[in-house]
Amino acid sequence: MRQSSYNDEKALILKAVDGDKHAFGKLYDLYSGKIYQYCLYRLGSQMDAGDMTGTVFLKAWESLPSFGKRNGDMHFRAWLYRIAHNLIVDSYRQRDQEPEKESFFQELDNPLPVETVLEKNEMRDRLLHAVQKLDGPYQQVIYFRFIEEMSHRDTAQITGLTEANVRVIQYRALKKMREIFGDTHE
Amino acid sequence: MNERKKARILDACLEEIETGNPDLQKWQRKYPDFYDELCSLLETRSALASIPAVEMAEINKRQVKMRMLNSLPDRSPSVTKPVLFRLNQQNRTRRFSMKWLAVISIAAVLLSGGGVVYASGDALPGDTLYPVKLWSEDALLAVAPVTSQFTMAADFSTQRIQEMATLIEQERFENVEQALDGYENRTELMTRLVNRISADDPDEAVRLRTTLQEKLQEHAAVMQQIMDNHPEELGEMVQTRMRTMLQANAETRTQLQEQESEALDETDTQTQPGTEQVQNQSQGENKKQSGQGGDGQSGQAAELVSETLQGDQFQLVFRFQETANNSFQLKLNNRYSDCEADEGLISCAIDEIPKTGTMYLYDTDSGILLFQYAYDYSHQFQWGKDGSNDTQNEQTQNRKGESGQKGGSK
Repeated sequence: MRQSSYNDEKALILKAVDGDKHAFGKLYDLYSGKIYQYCLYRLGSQMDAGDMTGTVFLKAWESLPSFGKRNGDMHFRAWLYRIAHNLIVDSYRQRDQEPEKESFFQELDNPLPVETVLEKNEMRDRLLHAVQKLDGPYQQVIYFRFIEEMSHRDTAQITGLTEANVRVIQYRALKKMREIFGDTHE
Repeated sequence: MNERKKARILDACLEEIETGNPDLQKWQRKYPDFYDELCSLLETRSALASIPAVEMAEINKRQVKMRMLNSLPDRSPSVTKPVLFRLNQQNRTRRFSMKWLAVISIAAVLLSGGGVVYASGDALPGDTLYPVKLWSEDALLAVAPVTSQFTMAADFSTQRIQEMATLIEQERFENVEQALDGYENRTELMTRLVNRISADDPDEAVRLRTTLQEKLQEHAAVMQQIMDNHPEELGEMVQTRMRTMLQANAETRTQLQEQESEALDETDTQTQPGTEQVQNQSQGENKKQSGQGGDGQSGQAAELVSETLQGDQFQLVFRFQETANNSFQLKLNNRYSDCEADEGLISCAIDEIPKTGTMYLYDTDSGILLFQYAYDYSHQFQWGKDGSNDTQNEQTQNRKGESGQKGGSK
């Protein structure tokens, strides 16, 4: 992130901590797309992902004062992902089940812009299937490290793993992906 | 080579790739046994990085934003309640505090001999006596039976709207938001009471739902007028809140109408109080249609003027006065289609529509719902074997949009 954007973001966060909802709306504009995509990967349903995105920002608003006291040890985006991660884990617990892994792909049969792209690329479609088949921590590390291209540090902060664990899991997860991909490819 | 070492090599290699300076031959020379596996892992990583982003539809993004912003509690002690989105939530804390407010109000009446309360009757948001006015309302609500509570809350919500209009007249724009808070509070109470009553007395709930719909429609018209006439003076925050409220208002009315339709489906009753709108629809229209304008106010919602099925493509034309410089989208079974607007007509074309479903017409810029219609075209058109049709079928009729809002204006 460029320094000026970072400063802008910081100013918005400070205003939002002081109760400025308009500033918080701008933070939503900046990050809702990323959070939505993450929720969609984890929950598998566009409707649930939209609802969860709203809930993540509500929770963020409530917790912003404590984020303001963290002395910048975590990026705002990483902090939002952390909230999303916790809320999703809670929702799994409440439902006592894993999300419907297939539904994400069923929903992509809708004529969203992305679908036309995906349909043209069978390889990518299989990759997405493979990501969905991974266990929770593997899926998260793959998502944050390679789809969101985040650092080990941010990935570790969001997932609650150590950076050393993130390194090992990224290896295992890519290997597993390769196996799944190989299976479906055969 | 153990797993940890492989993980370290992969990580070092990824770091090189991320810095844009990979030297794969170096890794091949150093770790020939691991090289093939390393390449396949890097290939997988590279494929993952190429997965396109999945975007939230712009209209959904805006709707989630408006709902979210509207639900944010203030950080100050005076908490603004999230309005109509939490229709079924029981707010026990609020009820508890309302009891206390009633006690305080009654105490105030006793101490002042009622004079202060009486004097507060005309108070407006921002006036010293305005809190007394709200307390006395709360006190009355706290001691009234449930159905009377509903009537009182309906009156109080109308009073908040009138206060808004008076504040605008007096150019006290800075106090409008307080009236909006009060309005949210009272409409939330009305909605909660309807839900509560529907469990015990479904017939009464039908009547109250109709009243609530009518009130909400009246209020929406006034709020829209205020927004249209004073866009600059209200300021961005108040405008956004009012827009959000209008949308919530329209959604609540839609929900109420759906509840009515469900009740009709379940009981298959004859005409019930408050269901005339559904019962009086013209023949051939599905009874789930909720595209009626409620009070029939003309010029305040889009009208569906024609529906045409040709092959697999369905074409819909709406009439709406304010099409200039606005864009519109039709949502049909979670699919969005852009529409073309020209001289008061909005044309939307959709491929392969299901025979039944619900369509929503939105003003894309403001996110305002202009028209909603639960359609059933099973018998209205001649469908082909695969659900399509070889010949053109056309229905031309006017249907008033549900929302009743003069959308499209900013």
